[in-house]
Amino acid sequence: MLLEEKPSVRSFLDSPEEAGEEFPDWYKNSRRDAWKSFQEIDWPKRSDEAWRFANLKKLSYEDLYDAKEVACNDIDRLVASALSLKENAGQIFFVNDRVVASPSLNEEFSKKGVIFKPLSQALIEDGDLVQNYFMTQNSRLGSAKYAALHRARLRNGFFFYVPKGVSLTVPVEVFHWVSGNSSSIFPHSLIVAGAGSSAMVAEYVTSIDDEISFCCGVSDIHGEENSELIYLRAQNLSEKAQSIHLLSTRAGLNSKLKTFNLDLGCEWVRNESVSRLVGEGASSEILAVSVPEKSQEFDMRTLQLHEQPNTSSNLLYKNTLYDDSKTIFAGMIVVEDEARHTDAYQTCRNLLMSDTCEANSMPGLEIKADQVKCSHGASTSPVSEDELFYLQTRGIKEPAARQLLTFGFVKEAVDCLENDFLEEVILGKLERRFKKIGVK
Amino acid sequence: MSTLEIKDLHASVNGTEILKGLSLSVPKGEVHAMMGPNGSGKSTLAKVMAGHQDYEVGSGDVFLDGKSLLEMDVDERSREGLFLAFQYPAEIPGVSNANFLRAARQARLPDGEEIDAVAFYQEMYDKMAKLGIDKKFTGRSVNEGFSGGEKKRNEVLQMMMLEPKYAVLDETDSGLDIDALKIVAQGVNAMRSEERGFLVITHYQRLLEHIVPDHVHVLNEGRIIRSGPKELALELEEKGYDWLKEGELVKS
Ligand SMILES: Nc1ncnc2c1ncn2[C@@H]1O[C@H](COP(=O)(O)OP(=O)(O)O)[C@@H](O)[C@H]1O
Ligand SMILES: [Mg+2]
Repeated sequence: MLLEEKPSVRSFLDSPEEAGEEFPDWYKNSRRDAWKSFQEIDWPKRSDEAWRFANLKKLSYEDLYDAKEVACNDIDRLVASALSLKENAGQIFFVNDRVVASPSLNEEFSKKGVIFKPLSQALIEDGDLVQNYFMTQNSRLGSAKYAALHRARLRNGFFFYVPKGVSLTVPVEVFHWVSGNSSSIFPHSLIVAGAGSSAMVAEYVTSIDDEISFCCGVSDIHGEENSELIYLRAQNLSEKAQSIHLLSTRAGLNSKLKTFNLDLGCEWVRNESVSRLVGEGASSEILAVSVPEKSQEFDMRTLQLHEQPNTSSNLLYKNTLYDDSKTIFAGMIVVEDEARHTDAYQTCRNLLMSDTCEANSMPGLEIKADQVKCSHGASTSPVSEDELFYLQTRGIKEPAARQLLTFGFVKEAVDCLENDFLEEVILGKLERRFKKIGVK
Repeated sequence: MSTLEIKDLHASVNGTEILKGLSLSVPKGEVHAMMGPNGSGKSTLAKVMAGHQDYEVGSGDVFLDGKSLLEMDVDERSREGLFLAFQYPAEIPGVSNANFLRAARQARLPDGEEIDAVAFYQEMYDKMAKLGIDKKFTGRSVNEGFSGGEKKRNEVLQMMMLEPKYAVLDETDSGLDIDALKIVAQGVNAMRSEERGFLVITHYQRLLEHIVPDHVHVLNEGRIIRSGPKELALELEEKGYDWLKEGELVKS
């Protein structure tokens, strides 16, 4: 094994974990408040609208502990097996929420004032800047309790700050690995794209072993005016893991934000995505692909919130379901009174690869403004017989034809990124995934 | 032996018989045209030969160089040398034209053998150029958002890449303007050879000015009611189909 365990275990439900002396006061207080909130807020119930269809039996945390520190002596091997970027502007590596190798950032960008460092370090070195953006977005989709838990227990993550006018033409990359039985991690991703800046981020959350683990992550993205940002999060935790991820984007004046969630691993996943369009002319693209098999269950809740005029958002979620897997998609578009001339689209497509999988889609719309173009739709179907027939008439055998079609199905969402760096990473991971699942 | 031979074929869809004893033989080296009014069963014949599951074959058979096609799976028929250019080609989102053609070519190689990617791309680009298809179509999803004419050219490109023994072209002229029609006809003509037979299904004599057939067959209500030389197409253009329908079945 690569890793060597050191002792120190504690169930995260039992007691708070205070921030160390070295952290700023505001942060220590935030952590204490969060623990209080966590204890006050009720656990989700099935009767909650935001948890409709969710299988709450999957949630039980009595036996979960903060992940232990482990010594990692072969980071290169881990990176090599990670199907990551060929080129990057900087990298940070975590195992169990601890930095395990020296973070890097291309000098060209650090000279221009770009900050890309572990959050634990940023809280101390850039505390005031972090404070402006840290956990400022309300949880709106049912997971306030988890947001509080995250804030109370987070140990690390990264802070990526791109100053005004700076462009990174190559993505930065963040690796999270989890190791050990009953390990819990709380990775925090805080991304700020300053006015007129542009950047890309790829983040991977992966298990090293096939143990039970829990990941409760928050990613907050702030796009200031005229900024452009693309964020990829690829989750491939163990088949016994559970993951809750709360993603929020705040798109300022004429900014363009794109997010992509790739979910492959975990027995249970809850993803919430809130896309706020807070400046005129802002646009958001919200993309996701998931490929569950066996009895995996992925629960996805989204909100596209148009607060200003001339904003646009486009959501495309694609799920390919095998075996007895289950997906839940609940999407909501809200167009506020002032948000005239809004374009908002929401599509969830499910490809059923078995008779026993289950895809639930609940698209929703709430329009309070005039002159708005909105559409939402969901579709659920098996592989098209017509498409299959067409491929077979060209001599392609049925299993290969099915693979082409399922890959094509998810690739449509990947193509929307229009970013070669990230597309290559995603397609590589999907290829490996489909190969592993094989022909069913 | 070197023929595509359709023998007394009866086929139905949803319990309705569409092909009612159709016989036709296309030897290698020849181009046969099939004409006939709307709904006479032309596309049905094409799809039955390709193996579409909606069509049930009651009796009769189709032989490709002596082997029964109807015994084979859909993909096997293609690898055996049959090609169908569809009247309405399917759209396949997310699968690029290049990957699709590559998979089709790969399927023809023995297990473990990999296609030579460089040579493949070169060949594909050459053939696309012949058909006036822009290079960017390699990266686009198969037929998705293509115009009617672009889809038809794409069918012919597939035929050129797969080099079948027998090609059935179902209304490949519809949706093409006159210039595109000429380009497509040139592509087909360049593939005419002693080693290949064509069955060209069309509504209009127009196509047959450019792809001159050796024989013309007229299909009506699921049966060939007349076969003749290429001039028959001209006659049909002038008189319509009614003069044939009323008369007796005439064999050439
Ligand atoms: N899948 C189908 N379901 C029901 N009827 C069909 C189907 N396919 C063809 N038909 C019927 O079979 C007849 C022949 O159709 P087709 O072969 O498409 O004619 P053509 O190509 O000569 O115009 C028509 O009456 C058509 O409505
Ligand atoms: Mg037809």
